[in-house]
Amino acid sequence: MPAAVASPLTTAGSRNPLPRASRDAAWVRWTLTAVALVFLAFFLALPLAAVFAEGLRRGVAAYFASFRDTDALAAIRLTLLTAAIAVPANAVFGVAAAWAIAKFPFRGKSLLITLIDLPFAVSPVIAGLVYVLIFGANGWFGSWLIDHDVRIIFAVPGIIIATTFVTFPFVARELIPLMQAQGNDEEYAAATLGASGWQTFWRVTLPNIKWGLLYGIILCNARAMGEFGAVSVVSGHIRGETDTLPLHVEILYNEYNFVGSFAVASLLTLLALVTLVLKTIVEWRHAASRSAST
Amino acid sequence: MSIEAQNIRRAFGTFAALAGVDLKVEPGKLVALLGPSGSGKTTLLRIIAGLEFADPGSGRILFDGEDVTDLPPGRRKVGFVFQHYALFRHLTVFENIAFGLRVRRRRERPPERELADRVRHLLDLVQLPGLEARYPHQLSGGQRQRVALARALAVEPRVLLLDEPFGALDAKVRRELRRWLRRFHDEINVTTLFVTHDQEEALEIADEVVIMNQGRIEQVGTPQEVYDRPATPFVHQFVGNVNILRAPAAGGGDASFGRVMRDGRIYVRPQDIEIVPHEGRDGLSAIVRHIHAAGPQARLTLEQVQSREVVEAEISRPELGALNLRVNDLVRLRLRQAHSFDDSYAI
Amino acid sequence: MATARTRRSALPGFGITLGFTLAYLGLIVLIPLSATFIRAAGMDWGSFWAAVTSPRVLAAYRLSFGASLAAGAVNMVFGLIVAWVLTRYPFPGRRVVDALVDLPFALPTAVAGIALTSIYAPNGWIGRWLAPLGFPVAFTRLGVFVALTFIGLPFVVRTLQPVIQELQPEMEESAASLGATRWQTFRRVLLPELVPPLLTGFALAFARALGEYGSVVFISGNMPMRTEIVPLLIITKLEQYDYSGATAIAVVMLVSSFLLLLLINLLQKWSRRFQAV
Repeated sequence: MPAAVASPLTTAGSRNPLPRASRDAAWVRWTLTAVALVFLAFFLALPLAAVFAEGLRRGVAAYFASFRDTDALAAIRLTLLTAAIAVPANAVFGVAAAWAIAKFPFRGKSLLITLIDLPFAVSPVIAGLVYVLIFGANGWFGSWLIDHDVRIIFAVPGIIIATTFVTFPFVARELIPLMQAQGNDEEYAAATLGASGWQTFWRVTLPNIKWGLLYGIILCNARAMGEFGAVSVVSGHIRGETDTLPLHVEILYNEYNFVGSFAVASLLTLLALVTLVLKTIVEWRHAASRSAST
Repeated sequence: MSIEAQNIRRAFGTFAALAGVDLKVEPGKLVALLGPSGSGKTTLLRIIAGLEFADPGSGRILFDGEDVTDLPPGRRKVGFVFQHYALFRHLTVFENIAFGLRVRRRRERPPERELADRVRHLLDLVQLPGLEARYPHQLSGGQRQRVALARALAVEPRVLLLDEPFGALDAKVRRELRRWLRRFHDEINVTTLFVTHDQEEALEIADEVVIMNQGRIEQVGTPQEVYDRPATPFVHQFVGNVNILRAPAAGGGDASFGRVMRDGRIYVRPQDIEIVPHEGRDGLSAIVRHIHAAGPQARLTLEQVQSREVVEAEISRPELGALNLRVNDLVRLRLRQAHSFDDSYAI
Repeated sequence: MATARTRRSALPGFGITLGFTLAYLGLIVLIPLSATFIRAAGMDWGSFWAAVTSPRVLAAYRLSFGASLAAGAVNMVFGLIVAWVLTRYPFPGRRVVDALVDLPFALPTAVAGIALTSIYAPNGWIGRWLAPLGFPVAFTRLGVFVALTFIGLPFVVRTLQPVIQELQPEMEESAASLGATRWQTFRRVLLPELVPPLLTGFALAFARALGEYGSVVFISGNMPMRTEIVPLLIITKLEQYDYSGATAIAVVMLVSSFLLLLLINLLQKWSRRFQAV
C-alpha cells in the first residue's frame, strides 16, 4: 500500500444526497460512469477473471491436482510461516510507534513519521538487495555467517526479514493518524481514575483503535503473503525449501506449467479478494463506531 | 480537603502559561477559576490534577498540607471532569462509572455486588437512574456531563476538578446544570475547583472567584467582592460591563464627576451612570444615540458632546419612561460610583 | 532525529515505546538501507559512473521513467473519472466496484503479472485483437506501460476520493448562483481544488511504478536495451555476482525515490495550504 495515501479510516464519512447545484447532467453522468466502468473492467475485472479461467483451462481435476504437489504445499507452509512472523512483529512495532508519536510531544516527530514510511518508497528489489549486501556471501557479515554455518540469504530467515522490510509501515501508518485524531483525553481520564499504564492501554486505548489495528494487520498480511520482488532476490528459488507461493507461481510459469501456475495464483487471488472483503467490512464497522461516538 | 498551589510556573517555549501562581482553596468550597482563554486557568487545573507538571524547579502542590507534587494523577485521589467529558466511548455508562473501581488492585477492589450498588447510588446522585446500559453516544450533552461527574466521584476523590464543565452545552442546559451543580456541591461537600471563561457562571455559583490573566492571578474574592471592588483594571473590564472614560472628559472640572484619576481613566459600570435632564450644570452633556429597551433594563448609547466618547448606560424602564427620552435628546450624565486604580474608592 | 523528552507526562511508556520504535526502525530499515550507500561509497567514482551510465542501464532508465510517466498520466485522467463517478454518482454495485479499486494493492504482483500477460499475449483475450492491428502488447514496451497502469490506478483514485468527498457543496451552489455553468463551475471552482491531490496521486503512482518488479517482468519480455526495466537490471547484475553494479544502480533509484518522497510531502503540504490552521 501506498506511501501517503490517506487511509479511509481517517477520512471516511457518510454523505447526504447531493444538493441540486452539485448534480451533473444525466448524459454527463452516464458517459463518465460508462468510461469508468469500462476502464475498470479492462484493468481490474479482466485480470481477475483471467486467473481463474487459465487455472481451470484443463478442468477442475487438473486445477486441484496442482495443490497436491509437495512443493506447492511447502510453498504454502513457508508463506504462512513468513506472515506469522513478519505481521505480528510489525503490528507490535506499529502500536509502539503510534503510542510514542500520538501520546507525547517530542522533537523530530515528523521526520520519524517520514522514515517509518520509507520502505514504501523503496523498490522491493532494492529491499532484497540491501539484505544481500549485509548477509550475503560478499556482505558485511557474510564470512562470519559462513564460519558459523548460519544461512540467511537464500534461506528462510532472509525471506522473513525481507518481508518484514516491505510490510514495515502498514500497521504504524494506520494507527498514527488514528491515535493522533483521537487525542489523549480518555487516557488522561483513566490516569486520574487510578489506572496503570497497561490498564489504560488494554482497557481504553486498544478498544478505541481495534478497527484501525485490524485494518493495518489485514493489509500487512496481504502484502506479506504476496510479496514477490524482495523475496525473489533473497530466496535463491530452491524448490520445496525457499519458495513462497508467489515464487512458486513464477517457477511453474517459467516451466510452462500454466495450469499449475494459475491454480496457485488463484489461491493468492482468493486471498486478495478475502482481504478486500475484510477491509471493506472493517471500514464500515469503523465508520459506524466513529459516527456513533461523535 | 484544602488545595494549595505554591509558586507554580509553566512555560510553553517562550510563552509563560503560568508565571508563578499561588493559590489556596479552603476545604469544602466551590471555587471558580475565571479568565479569558490563554490565561493559564486550565493549565493550572491540570497541574493540580497531575495531568501536567509544573516547570522543574518551580513550586509545589499541597493537598491538606501533604505534598503531592510528584504523585501521578491516579494516586492524588482527584476527580477530574474534562471539558468534553472524555467518557470511554466503548463502555456503557455503568462501566464508565465503575472504571476507577475496576482498575484498583485486587484486594482494594470492591466485590461485584458492592460495586454495582455504588454505581447505582452515584447514578441516583447525579439524577440519572436507569441509564446504566446506555453508551455515551446515546446520551445528551448534559447527561454525559453528569456521567463524567459520577465517574469522577466513584473513586471518592479528595477534591473535584472541573474543566469548563458547561462549555460544551447550549445556553439553557448550561443555566440549569450550573444551579444543579451548586446544590449538588452543597450536598456532597467536596472541595471543588472549576475552570470557566464565563463570568456569569462564576459569579452565580462560586463561593470564591479566582480571576486569572496572562498566567497570573489578578484577584481572589467572593463574587460580590470582585464585582464591587475589582482589584485591577483587568478585573473591572472582565467582570461585568464597564465604560472606560478618559479622565479629562469625565472630570471636566465638574465636582459631581469626582476626582481625576492618576492613571488618566475612570472605570464606571453602565448601571452606575445616572441620566438627568439637561438642566442645571451638574454632570456632562451627552446626546442619546440609541435606546435599546427590549429587556428588563433599558440600555442607552450616548455620545459625550465635548469628547465625543461613547458611553453605555443602563437605567430601569420606569426611569426611562419618566425621562421620556428620544434619540438625539440632549441629557446630562452623573456617575454614582467609579473606580480608578491608583487607589480604589467609590464616590 | 527524535530526541528524548524534556518534560514529564501523566501517561507512561514514552521511553520504552520510542526506544523500541527507533531500534526496530534502525535495524530493519535504516541500517540496511545505508548499506547500499556505504557499499557505493566504497566504489571509485569512475567505475560508479560507468556502472550507472552504461548504454544498457540508460536504456532501462528511459524505459522505467518513460513508462512510469505515461502510466501515471493515464491514471491521472482515468483515476479522476473513476474517483468522481465513485464518490458522486450512485449506481447499483458501486460499493463492490469501489472495493475492487484496491485490487492492485491486494493482488500479489506476480499474479497480476501472469494474468496481464495471459490477457495481452498474442493469443490472449485482448492480445488477439490488438496484435493483428499492429499493437502487440505483451513482450513490448506497451506491455510495461499496461502493467504499470494497473499498479498505479488505486493511488490516484484513493488520493482524490476523500478530497472530492469533502468539497463543500456551498462552493458549487454559490458558483451556480453567480451564473456559472456546470462546466465553468467544475473548471474554475472544483478542478483547482483537485489539482494538488491529482499531482500527489500521480507522484505516488509514479514512485511505485519506478520500483515495480513483479507485475512487469512477465509481460515485458525482458530484452536488454528494449524492454528491460531498472529493477530487473538490478536482479540481473546480482545474478551475475556484479554486486557493485547492482548497488550503483540501486543508489540512483533510491535517490530518485527519496526525491519523489520529498516532492510528495511538499505536494501534500501545498494541498493543505488553504485549510485553516
